[in-house]
Amino acid sequence: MFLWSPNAQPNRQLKLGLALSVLTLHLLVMGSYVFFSRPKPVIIKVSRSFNRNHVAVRVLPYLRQTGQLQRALQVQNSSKKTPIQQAAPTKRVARQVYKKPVAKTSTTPAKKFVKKQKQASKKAQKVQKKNTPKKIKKTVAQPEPPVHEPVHEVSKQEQPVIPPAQPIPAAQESAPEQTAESTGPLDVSITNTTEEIELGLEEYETLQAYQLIQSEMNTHWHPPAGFTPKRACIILITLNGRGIVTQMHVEQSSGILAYDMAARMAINRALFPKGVWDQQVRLHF
Amino acid sequence: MKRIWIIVGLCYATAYASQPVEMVLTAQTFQPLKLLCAVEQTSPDCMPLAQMIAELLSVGNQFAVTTTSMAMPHTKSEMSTLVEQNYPFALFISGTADEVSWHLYDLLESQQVCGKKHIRGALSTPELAITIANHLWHELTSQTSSFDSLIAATKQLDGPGRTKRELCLIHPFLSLQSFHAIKLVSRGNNFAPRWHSTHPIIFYSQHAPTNIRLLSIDPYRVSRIITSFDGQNITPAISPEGQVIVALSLHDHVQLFSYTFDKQARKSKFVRLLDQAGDCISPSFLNEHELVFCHINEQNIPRVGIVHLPAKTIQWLPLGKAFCPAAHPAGTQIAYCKKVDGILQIFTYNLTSKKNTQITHDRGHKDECSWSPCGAFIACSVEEANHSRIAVVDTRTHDMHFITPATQHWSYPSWSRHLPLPYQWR
Repeated sequence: MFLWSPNAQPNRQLKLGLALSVLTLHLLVMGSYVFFSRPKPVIIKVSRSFNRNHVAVRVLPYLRQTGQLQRALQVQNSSKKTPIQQAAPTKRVARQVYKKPVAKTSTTPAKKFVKKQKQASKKAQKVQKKNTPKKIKKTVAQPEPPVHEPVHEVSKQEQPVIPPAQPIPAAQESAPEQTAESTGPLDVSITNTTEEIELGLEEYETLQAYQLIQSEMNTHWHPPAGFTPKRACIILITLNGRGIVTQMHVEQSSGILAYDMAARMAINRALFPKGVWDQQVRLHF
Repeated sequence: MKRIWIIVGLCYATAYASQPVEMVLTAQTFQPLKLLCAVEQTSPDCMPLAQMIAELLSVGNQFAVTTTSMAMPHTKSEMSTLVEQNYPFALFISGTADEVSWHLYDLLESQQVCGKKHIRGALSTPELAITIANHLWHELTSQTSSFDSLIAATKQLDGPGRTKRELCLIHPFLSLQSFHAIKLVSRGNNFAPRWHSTHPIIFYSQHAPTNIRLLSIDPYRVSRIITSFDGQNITPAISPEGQVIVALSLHDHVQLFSYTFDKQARKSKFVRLLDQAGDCISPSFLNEHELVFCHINEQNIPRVGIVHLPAKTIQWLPLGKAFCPAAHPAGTQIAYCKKVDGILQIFTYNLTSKKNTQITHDRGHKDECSWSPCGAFIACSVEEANHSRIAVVDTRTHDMHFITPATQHWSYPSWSRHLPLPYQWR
């Protein structure tokens, strides 16, 4: 019999204490795994209309999730739902600043992170309202279209600001729009940045992955004109450790074979960012 | 103790569980989907058929069809080669003089989507191409096509003397080289053809020495005089249940009359429909009880209205100076013509949403709209520089393509309903 085994100890209190300590130890191990392990993807159902909303974002590197993103999505999702063919009007929150991407640097402590953000936001101070307190602004960089090579991680201090997303799984815009997301950095001055949301690391990385996937799919997703499917085409893809699509499953068909095929061809040609490698991605077309 | 261990195990399980990233994507631009139409190398006679199928499927610029002659791939690697060339679909055609078989393949999955064998029989090559294209269109788009319909139109003949227009049938999507025009009436000055709603009969007006009379022609090329009153006898409209409204002259103006046949007295009766001063022309049935028409008042200002036949009440539509109204097959929309910056353009008006949409924007005066049976296209005449051509406009993409050459003078298009194959008009 082992000494630590509860049955070996005649004392009932000692038994309980041992059980509680084992439980506490398990909880500590599990909690540290959950906190420090590879981030679990956040489920965000976004539509491209949110790319027009420019929101100032502040990333807190010591938190995985803040929940503010989900709340912001719920606020915007509380507006009327539009059918798949109509554009989803979104609440304009603020403008964001786009700057050129900066090479990745090592993660700095919170104080140094705050200092660097202050320096970067000096240029945008003229446009901000006087009443708003000077907060650390996250400069935005417009990611370039991905090339045929693995996606390199960029600095977390100056990252492309991904606007909050709208969780409308079946909403789509009817008319094709022009966005400059995949064409390079933009110089957009900040106007009326009244709201700022704070994101955790996990949320930020997911939004970053979303933007990269969005820009990649914009390059390849060109369905034939004139089709108005009554429901979205939902495809679940499984990516291996190298980002190659190993499985493509059409969970819901749009009812139009040509439309579904155009979506599958777009997935077949797209290169997915490293942030979603070895994961599953569900795309709504 | 066991329960504690179970709880701990469940906590681990939930920690390990992960859900996929989800996102909604919206298309920025649209491109036609590529489709390969391949003829088996052992069946070179099927190449004209393949070219006609490609011509039909390219309608509306939704598919970019490429025809080629190649051996049918039998392995996944051969099909994946085609996928690398950006072909998601491939149509393989093979056959002999008596029968033709086709197979549509999903190249991504390397699976057959559908296929069929046709026996030529009495079908000509264009008619066989139409039959196959109908199947393919429904399979690819889940929509009905208008490939099996025809357009009745008039072709002006050049020559001295009086104007001569022959009544012909042309295909709305195949070129005149692929589908030769079928001449129905070669003599006289014929214009404004209209199809019967249920029977394969065409009504048309013809200039006579003293009046403009209304005639009909059936698939056996037998012409009959329907009405020959003084003045004009033009543009009949026939409802699905057989109601007939025709425009006849009355006191130097054209009015709408409903036609009934008294079986006991064995006489035709024409009863004036409306009391509007001026001209009431271009009747078109929205449904059994509603008729859309154009009214031109004494100041020559046109407007479009809907008359409710049982009550004889008129609802004027807020379309401005619109004319040539044509009712959508489903009765939900109206196509009409209106001047914009001095040029006649085609508009559609949705009766449910009350929304106006301009369909055409280019130069050339558009006139005489006619809807396709599927409701996605409008045929019209485009007049520019003393020449008139017939064009087909896609109402979804606003794409317009001409189906008659620029060197010929075509006008007055009227689109038929779905016709059985082979065409009885051959």
